[in-house]
Amino acid sequence: MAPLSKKLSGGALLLALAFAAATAGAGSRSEPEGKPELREPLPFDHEAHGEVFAKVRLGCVDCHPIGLSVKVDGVAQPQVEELPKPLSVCHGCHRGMVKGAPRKAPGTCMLCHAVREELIPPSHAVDWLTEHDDEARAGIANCRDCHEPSSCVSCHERRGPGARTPHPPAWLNFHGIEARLDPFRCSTCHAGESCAECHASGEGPW
Amino acid sequence: MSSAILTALLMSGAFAQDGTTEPPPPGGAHAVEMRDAAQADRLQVFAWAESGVDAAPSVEGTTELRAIELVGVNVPINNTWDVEAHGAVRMTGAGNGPDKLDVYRLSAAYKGADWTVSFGRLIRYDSRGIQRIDGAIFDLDRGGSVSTVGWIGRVWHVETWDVGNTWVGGFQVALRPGNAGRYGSRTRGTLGWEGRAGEAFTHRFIASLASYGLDGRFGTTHFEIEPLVGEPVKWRAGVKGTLPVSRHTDAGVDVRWEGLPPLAVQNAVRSPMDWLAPQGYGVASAFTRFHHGDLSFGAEAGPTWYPHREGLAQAGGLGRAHVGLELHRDLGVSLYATAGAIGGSWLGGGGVALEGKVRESELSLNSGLYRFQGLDGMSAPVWESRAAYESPLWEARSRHDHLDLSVDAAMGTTRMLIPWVRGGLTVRGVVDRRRRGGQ
Repeated sequence: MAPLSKKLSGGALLLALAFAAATAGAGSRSEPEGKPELREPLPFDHEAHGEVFAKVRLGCVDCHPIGLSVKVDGVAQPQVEELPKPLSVCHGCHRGMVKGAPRKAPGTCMLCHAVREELIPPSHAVDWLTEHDDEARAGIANCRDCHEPSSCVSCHERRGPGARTPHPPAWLNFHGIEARLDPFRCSTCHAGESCAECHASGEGPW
Repeated sequence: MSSAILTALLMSGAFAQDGTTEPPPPGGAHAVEMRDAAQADRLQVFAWAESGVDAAPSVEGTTELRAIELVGVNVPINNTWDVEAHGAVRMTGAGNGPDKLDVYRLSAAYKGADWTVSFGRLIRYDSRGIQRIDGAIFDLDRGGSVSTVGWIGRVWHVETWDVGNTWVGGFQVALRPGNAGRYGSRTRGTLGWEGRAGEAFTHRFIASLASYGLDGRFGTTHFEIEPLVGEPVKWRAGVKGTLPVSRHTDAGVDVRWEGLPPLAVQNAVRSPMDWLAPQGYGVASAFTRFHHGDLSFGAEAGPTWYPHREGLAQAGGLGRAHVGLELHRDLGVSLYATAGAIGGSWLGGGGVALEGKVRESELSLNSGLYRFQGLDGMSAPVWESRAAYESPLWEARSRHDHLDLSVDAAMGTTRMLIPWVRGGLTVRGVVDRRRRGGQ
């Protein structure tokens, strides 16, 4: 047992090193250029927010950092800058990101955001259909923030007519080779009966 | 076919009330959304229904007519309760009644201030994959850097449904260092344990770590071990990393050892893993993706290794590549190639794929020619083509409610040069009256 334990701990160390190398500096690069475009004018109702802002202790300067540095015709003018932290200020309640967020705050993205496509995360590239499992399993993503409840069922559980297939082209002929190259992945959705249905029946040309 | 048309007509009738009898509010679609958002206390519901039919080749070599009627509903109540039910009946053969009843979800969840409990027919996923249980999940998340989830239930599977009694129960503690909160941290680690009782009792220790950067770099690793008294230790582990190596190029590796039975199937069921790799195997791949302007390129390749196998192939490999070109904003074409081999069996070839969009309708086609050699050493050219078309039949101004049509077909030849054809049609309707969501 001891040599095996050594092998395991060695393997774990290698994995940890490989992981550290792969993710070193994660998040240290600059954020993507530009921010999602908001609707103009922003549909914000000050009156409707008064009571709840008082409750969660948000004040005017949390959205409007007012300074007196700008002068027009020699008179100091209030300078209203860009919203400083919309992610924490707005999303705190409307996406349920803070503890004690009011439960009635609507979370519909397109209430404030102008362009739906700008909200698609950079990870959702062309190969996302086959790659999304990593992020979902890592527990970092929250799929249901955007996707309707039927999204998972349509691919992961549904069988029969109209079922979406995650399999690449040439699957009918290629599946036997790919199954022997990585059988664990088959087992996510299929039981051995799937194989036996055709291969053990003795009726097909397989 | 008639059931699909009937469903379409019924749904059109049901939806017509939303779009025609209600006076349009001032301000167009945005005003509708504002009005919906303001009506915070009204009943929220997401409902969908599908009716589909297709003709598919059967094992006996004949063509089989299949149909499905599917319904699903999700009702969030005051952001506290969340009730969900999705299921379908399937029919095989013309004029026959339902021969399969599938229940995908039948669950309710209660959300407290810092915790959520879900019970019923559920699905859960963690670093190891998907697990489907009839039972309960308890999630404690106080918005800080530590959260906990526990689960207990009976395993069900989407193909075998209820075979034997396999019970699982476990917990996992998640740590999010740095900025606390679900959305604040870009790194998440977990430690957990799961017991599994069926024909015999087994238990596993679980660990995982994942981290991502906003520029697209992503790394994840997992480790799972099953100690059994008097038997060799079984384990599985993996590491996968993606790194942006330039402004237009990503590259990465994926290395795994798979030495444990999958958690998705019941103990009494033999899985593809049990059939093909009972003593485990290693698999690795390297991949790269390039995208610049209208041009894209992707490739992946790697080996598989069965160190404990005797009598069967111990090694094999797989490779895929594609080059894509966007001819127009709504039209793209790509060439792809595929090759794989294990033992004396191999397949190699390639084809062309086309994706287009006209207004809200989408069309995709792919067709390829390959050479395939089976385990018996006989090789032959094989051909396979697929086509899919999706088009909205009706859409509410709010875009929340819609009725869509999708048609798909596939055809080709087997290694015995036997032609096959599959084709179908599905009508899908959605009524979405939720406050939350990305719509």
